[in-house]
Amino acid sequence: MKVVQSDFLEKISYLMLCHASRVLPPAVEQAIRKAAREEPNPKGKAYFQAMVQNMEISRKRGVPLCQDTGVPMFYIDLPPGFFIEGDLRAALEEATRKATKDTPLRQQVTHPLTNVNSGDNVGWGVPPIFLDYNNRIDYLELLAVTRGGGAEIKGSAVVPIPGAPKENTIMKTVLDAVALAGGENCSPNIVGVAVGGFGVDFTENLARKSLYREPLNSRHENPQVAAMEEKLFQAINRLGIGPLGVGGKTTCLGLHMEIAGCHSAVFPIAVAFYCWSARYSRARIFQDGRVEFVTHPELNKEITHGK
Amino acid sequence: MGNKEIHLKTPIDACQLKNLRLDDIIYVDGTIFTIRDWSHQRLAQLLEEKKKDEIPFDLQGMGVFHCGPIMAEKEGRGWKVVSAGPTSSSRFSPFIPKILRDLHPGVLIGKGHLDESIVKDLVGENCVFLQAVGGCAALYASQIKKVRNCYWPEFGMVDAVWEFEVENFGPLSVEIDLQGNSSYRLFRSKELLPNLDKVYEEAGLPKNADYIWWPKVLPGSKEAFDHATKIEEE
Repeated sequence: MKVVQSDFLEKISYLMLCHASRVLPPAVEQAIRKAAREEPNPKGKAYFQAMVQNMEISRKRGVPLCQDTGVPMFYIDLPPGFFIEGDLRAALEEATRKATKDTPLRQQVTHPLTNVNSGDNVGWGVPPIFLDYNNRIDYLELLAVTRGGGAEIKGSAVVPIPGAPKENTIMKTVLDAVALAGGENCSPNIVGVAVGGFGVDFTENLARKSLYREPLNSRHENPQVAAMEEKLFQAINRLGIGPLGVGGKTTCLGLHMEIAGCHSAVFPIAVAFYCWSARYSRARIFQDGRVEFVTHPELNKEITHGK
Repeated sequence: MGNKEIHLKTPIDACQLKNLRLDDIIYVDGTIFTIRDWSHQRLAQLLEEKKKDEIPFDLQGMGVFHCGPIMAEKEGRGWKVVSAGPTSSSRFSPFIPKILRDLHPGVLIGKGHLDESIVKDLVGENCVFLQAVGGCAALYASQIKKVRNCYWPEFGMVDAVWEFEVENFGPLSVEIDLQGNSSYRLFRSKELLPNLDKVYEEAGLPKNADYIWWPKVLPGSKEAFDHATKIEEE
């Protein structure tokens, strides 16, 4: 049995939130740099070059890449035999408060009816914590996300007629969603697709979580899903939307699709977008207390072990 | 079509704007004001109530920046900008015609598109719409040299109106010019929709296929109202 203290999760999630807002995961940064090199459209190229410059400035100055640091979110995957001791919600709220003050993140969280801003990104049930019991891993995985609203709202979920041809329906739903957003979701995007699950919220969460899959643009283990992923990835990049919809070769940095069992008459499809500034940080805590910062190994200079 | 690199200095007038073309890359020097959701609403309301003299700042010839920045208080020495990039402009569309007509800003700087109905208002009031690169908030913040003022602080750090002095503020691209060209319209009709048709065709997707059961129309939308009245008429 492995007991992880919530105080320790507070400590590392604070570091991860601060850092995620300033430095992109290396695979995302490399994908943007590649797009900048390969873009033939001069306007698109100017946009990509601004993105590269932005990544350099934010790293040098230690400031958030984007002013929209979103509503901070946490995902925890718990393997068998791992337990979290203490008040996890209080711990992640405290990490959010501290990261908001020290980074600083934008004071975002607002009461939905009165517009009162809590001032520290905590309140009325947020930050959200998505907890999953995952028996395919032997470490606790923590994901801290600072994800802006512009990409979030352009995602969507629909329920097709049960008899509709599956592949066509998925293809049309995804491509329509990409074309409707037309780059205003701060393209190039990571696109997350989910099919199945009961209730569109379930499907949307699955699509959203798939955005953080690593390696970026890697394929699903199910060959049928993997083939659809590749087809969608190629199709989206043929739309020519480019950065922010100004036209260009790269519209999609990665496409990840997930499936889940569903009601026989209800197979929802959800599409989620991550903006090019796909800010997340992932860490793993192992049985022996060792911590591995997967997306930001430089954080291992600050913490290597914990309880 | 443009792609020239052009510098504008506030106050901006029609002479500086009339030669701009879609896709020209612009850098602005001078004064810009951040205007986001609550300040758009307040401005529109004051103008509606004929209370222009209660607006504590003058937008004439200045840059309006659709942005809710991250600001930090310097110990006893005012404010500094941490991160300040553009936000989606389309949600401000309802407020913009009145602001253009009564306050005459020089340029609007945002992200994405404005409703096509606003193109004529922009042309009529000699104002252009420029796009800043979404997500490049660290870059744009580095070009803000001074925080001159903060108006309507009661809206909070993000929604207050910040007056910034900027140098080489860009790159910004011309999205709606004074000839009434709109890159949004042009790109959709000439590139995106033809590409979409082609991709659908190659994938063997029937045109106008409708596979969706629910939602048929979006609750709360104008279409939902139309849908309901259509059933009534039938």
